[in-house]
Amino acid sequence: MTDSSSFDPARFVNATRARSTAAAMSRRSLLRGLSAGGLTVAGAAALSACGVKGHSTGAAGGAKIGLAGKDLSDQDKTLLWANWPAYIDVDDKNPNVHPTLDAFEKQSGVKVTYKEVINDNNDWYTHIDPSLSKGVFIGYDLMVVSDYMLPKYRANNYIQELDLANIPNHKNILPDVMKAPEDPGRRFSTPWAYGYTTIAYNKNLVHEPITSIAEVFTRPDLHGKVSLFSEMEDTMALALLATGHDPSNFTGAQFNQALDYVRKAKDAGQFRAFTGNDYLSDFQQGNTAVTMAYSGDVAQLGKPELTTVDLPKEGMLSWSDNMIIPNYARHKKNAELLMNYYLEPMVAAVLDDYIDYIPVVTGAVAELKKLDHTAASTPLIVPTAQMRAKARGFMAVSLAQLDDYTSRFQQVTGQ
Amino acid sequence: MSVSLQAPPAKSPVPQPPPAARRAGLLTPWILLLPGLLWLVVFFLVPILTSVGASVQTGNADQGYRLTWDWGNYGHGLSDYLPQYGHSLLYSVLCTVFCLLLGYPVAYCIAFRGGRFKSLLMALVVVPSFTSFLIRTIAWKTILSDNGPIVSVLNDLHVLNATTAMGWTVGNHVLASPAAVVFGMVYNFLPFMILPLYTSLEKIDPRLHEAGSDLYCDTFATWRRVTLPLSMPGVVGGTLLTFIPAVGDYINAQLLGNPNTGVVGQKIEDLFLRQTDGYPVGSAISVVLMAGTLILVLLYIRKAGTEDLI
Repeated sequence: MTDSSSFDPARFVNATRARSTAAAMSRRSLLRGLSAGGLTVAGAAALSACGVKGHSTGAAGGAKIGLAGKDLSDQDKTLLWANWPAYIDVDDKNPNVHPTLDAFEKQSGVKVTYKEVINDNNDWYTHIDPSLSKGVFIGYDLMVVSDYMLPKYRANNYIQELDLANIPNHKNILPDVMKAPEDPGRRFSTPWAYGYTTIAYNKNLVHEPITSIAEVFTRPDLHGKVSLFSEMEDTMALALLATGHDPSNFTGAQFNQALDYVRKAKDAGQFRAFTGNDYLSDFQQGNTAVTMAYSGDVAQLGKPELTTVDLPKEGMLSWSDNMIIPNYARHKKNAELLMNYYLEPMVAAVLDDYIDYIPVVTGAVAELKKLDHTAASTPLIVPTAQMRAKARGFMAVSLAQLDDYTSRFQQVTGQ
Repeated sequence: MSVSLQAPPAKSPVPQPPPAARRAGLLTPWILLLPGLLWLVVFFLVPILTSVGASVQTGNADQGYRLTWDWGNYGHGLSDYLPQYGHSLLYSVLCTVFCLLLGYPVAYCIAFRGGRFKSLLMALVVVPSFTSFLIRTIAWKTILSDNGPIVSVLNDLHVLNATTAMGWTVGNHVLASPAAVVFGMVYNFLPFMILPLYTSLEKIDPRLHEAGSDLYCDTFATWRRVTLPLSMPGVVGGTLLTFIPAVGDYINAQLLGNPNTGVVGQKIEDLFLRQTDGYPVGSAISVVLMAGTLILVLLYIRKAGTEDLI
């Protein structure tokens, strides 16, 4: 969920370089290490060859476990992957090269077609929904979507149950993330990135530090300078927190109260925009003084005047973006091998070091400390216990409720 | 302007074609019309009927839509999105007026004072459109950014205090305001105003201007009594070409506006792309937009009375 339009590879590279000169070295040596570790992937492939054949045989009758297409993984060593822009590590010299992905291709022999085609969860869903509902392959074997969308994909039986025999590293997922309400036990998804939705502001334009969410909605000196997210889950979670409710457990009435809170501030002209992925460009140009922000994004910009509130008084939203395999995928096993690969502690550490999100793989923090000590001591990458305790996930709501909340929220955003 | 003094052609005995040839002769116009008619059916009639059909359905994308003749979608659409309709209408009318005020002098100068540079000047009007209009609009975001030179000059001159007091801008910036939306629209649609104006002004015989001054008209009176009436087809054509796309435009409001400048196009986009149960109401509000635009345009043409235009 990082920005595409304002992504400046040069600045990104400089920022990462500035963090630690040792990082570049260790990254290179790490890549050597990765190719040696190819054994792990090969081992997983061997396991799966003699393991459970397809999930359909073991499935309970009537359970929604997705609809399998013909899996061509073994004959056709390719994989079609849809992800969000600027959401993967990038080579210092060539922005089209992704070192972790290259290492995976070398080890597994699977050629990955990596496309940054997802910009908005709802846009993406309505884009692929017609194909999935007609039983047509969507053109991707693997995609990354946000946690709160998983129940929707599951309810419509649009995603396939994972064959865990292909994902021995599945056990590495941290317990909290493993038991997430949207997919308990992670039978259908593995985490790609984990982070917080919080607040960021421009110190040059905001003279008094911001410490709570409520200030963003009410402080007169921020009038017309605030941008919020157009995704319901993000903005409503913060509004629920600001009105004293818990986004992981709220009632319809509490939602309405929080929605009124947003509407009132919007009608008063407090907000400059409800934006999607492009919120960073206005923020960088100084057009917005305060913005809701995904935890890793602002750090990536490497601008000292742009600061993220590590933990607003009321708390903040925690979320995960997850890899899932849509129905009729043609290379399901290859997709599972890739999921397994990114659950290696060392790979997860390199990825999160680059994209500045929170590692959720056992052992990844230890790897990150070896790799890039500065990153490992940044609270938005390795959060403190207090941050973990005060961050809340978004409640898993029913499909009808989600649609209702989304459409009422979108009516308020008025765009 | 010449009056035809020719007598009607005398009737000459034309030999009657054989019956088969006559039938073919009757069919010829239809055969010639066929490609155009097919085009209209496939790209105009079918989409309109689909749209109207979708506007009276019930359901969502996951369970499918059923035709239930639910006219309530129109009621919901109109009551929920009335402010957006108001903004669309206001901004597009303002855009048309500003385009006319800016475009007419430009077209006039090119047509009558352009000399041998006419083609070059017209090319200059059109050339910016060779870049995507999305990119040009995004470029304005940078040019007008809060910390950019233009906004600081406007602030130093206290212009923005005045416009903010009038409700045209918000705070001490230009972007994310109604003024920015109208500005963006004027910028993007100006060529559509200038081109038809130029075409009709260019056809006016310059000797009519001489005749005007011979008859003791000053320049302004000549313009008002001779040039303007003769350029009316251009004015009507230009205003239509500007107003019709402007009323449905939402890119300018999206990129240059704020949450309180929403236009109906944004809502249609939102309902179609981001809401899984948005098709019926989305279709209803777009049908209303089309019908409303059609009625306004018909009234305007009736009033303007330019039969030679249509």
